[in-house]
Amino acid sequence: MTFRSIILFFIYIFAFSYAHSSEIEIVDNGTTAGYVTLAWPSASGKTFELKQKENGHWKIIYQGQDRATTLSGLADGTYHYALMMDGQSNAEDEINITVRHHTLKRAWTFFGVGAAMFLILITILTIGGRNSVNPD
Amino acid sequence: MLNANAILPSWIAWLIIAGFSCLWVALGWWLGRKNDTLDDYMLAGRKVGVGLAVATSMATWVTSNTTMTAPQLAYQLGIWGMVGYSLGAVGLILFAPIARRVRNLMPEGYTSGDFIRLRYGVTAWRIFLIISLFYSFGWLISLGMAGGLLINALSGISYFYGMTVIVTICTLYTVFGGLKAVIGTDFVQTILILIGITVLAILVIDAVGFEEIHNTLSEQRPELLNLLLPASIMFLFNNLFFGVGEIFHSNVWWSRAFAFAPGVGFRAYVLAGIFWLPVPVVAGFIALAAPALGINVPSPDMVAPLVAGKLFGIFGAILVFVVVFSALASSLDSVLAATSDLIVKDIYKGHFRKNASGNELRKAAVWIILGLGALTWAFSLPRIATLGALLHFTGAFVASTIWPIAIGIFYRRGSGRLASLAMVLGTASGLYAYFTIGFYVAALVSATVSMLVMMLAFKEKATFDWAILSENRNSK
Repeated sequence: MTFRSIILFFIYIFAFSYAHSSEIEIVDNGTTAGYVTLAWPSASGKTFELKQKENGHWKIIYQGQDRATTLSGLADGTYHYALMMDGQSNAEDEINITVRHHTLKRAWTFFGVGAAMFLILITILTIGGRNSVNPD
Repeated sequence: MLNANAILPSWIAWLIIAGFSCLWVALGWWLGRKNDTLDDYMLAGRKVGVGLAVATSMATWVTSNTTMTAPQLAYQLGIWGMVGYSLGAVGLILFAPIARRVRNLMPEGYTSGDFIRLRYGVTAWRIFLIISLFYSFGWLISLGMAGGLLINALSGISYFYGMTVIVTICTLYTVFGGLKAVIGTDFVQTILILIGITVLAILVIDAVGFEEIHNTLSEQRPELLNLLLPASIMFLFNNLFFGVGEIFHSNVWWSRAFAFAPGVGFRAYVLAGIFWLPVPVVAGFIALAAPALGINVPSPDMVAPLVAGKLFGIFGAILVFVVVFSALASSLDSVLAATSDLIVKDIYKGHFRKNASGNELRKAAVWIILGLGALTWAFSLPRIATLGALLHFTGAFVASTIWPIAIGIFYRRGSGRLASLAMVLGTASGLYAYFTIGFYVAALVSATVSMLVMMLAFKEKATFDWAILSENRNSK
């Protein structure tokens, strides 16, 4: 039983590694806030091009020697990126990013809780400060 | 190194580092030469005036996080990102009445730990010490890391050398001069930071222009201008309470409250908050020019140096280098001194050497600052986390202390058991929110749960005797 589990574990690790063999990694995932940092630290080559698919066409969004880029201000949707190294592209060096912002309902809930708590804190400090002159 | 283009020749960077290092160490030695007593060394003789008090409060709060993370948040979360960051000023302003109260209630107090121990008892004190020391150590490591990263990104000098130099210099002058050195150097550093940031912002507006920045953002990154960006809305009060939690609990601010002359604390913290408020907005604005300039941003916390370097070449890079180097030093020395005070008074004396004399404590303080410097260096070496991750993780811890302190300092209600529960449950729920929702709600959730627990204090009888807080005076 144990031996079988070990074999299955290694099969899983192998399958997982194979499925994620793209050179592009997400190093800072803020897809619920509309930003993401993509990096390709171990990609071979000296110059890189990062392309984004827009309406079926590829558009270069970065060209140079850096090995990472931060994309921000992204609206809800799925974004498709591909990396070229020294002018060569590889079908595996692509990545899909799905951006899905928090709902406004959730955002306003947190905002409301924060605002209410802020008012309570101001009240506590003001009344406390006044009473400290004339202790209760 | 993810960024392939270092802007500053390494010899210029070494020249700046050497010049400022000599200045800080000499100033530290000169300011500390008349330190006689433990009060002189730890609390600058308890007679700091308004000018120095405002400068040190502001400079300490302008950290590498303000100059590097505020632009990062503007770049990631847009307009509300930088505005939200500037709400950190609220913490300084709200601490003003607490500083005045503390100075009156505990005229001979030393640390925030003193207050928690006397007000809530030993269990709450120990929980508070764990939270506070964890936060202080996290802050120290993030500053050490920021020094290494900044020097590496701008000049190509290796992370190891940059981090080692900044940690060593700050440790040395803090050892020589104690809090006097920290406050004196903070004054010079404040002037450098304010001039540098203002000049940079004016140059960016002049070179790029509001209209071009707005047009490019509208076209390429419209969500950064969206005032209804959900994550930014959630972030606003989170950052406010993170800042409030950091300031309310940290001995960095309490030791200053004890060090300021009577009547100075309230004005100093209000003025420092007002002066600090626009700094993150100005620093953040610089980041919004990056898309208009076609700058690639490999790591979002490096966006400000990249913009300055691209626009103004070596001059811009030198300006950013001086600003961030000053911001780093002004915070690193303060955290070193305040954390050492906490360890000396609350751990060394409080737990192991209850009858230690002032002379013994002063000697211990020197060794503890040196030890803290060494530990900071050792933990900064492997770069265990990113700056942002390290910073926001501590939010869940510190926000849980807001209510025990706010209620405990003004009201006779609230037991040690309740305060302990508020800190433990607040921290646990904040950590849960950090991992399940995002960094931008951890402090808010922690503070909310802590508040709900502490509100039960108002159902208890008002039994605390304020005279207990002046124990230090009697035991001296």
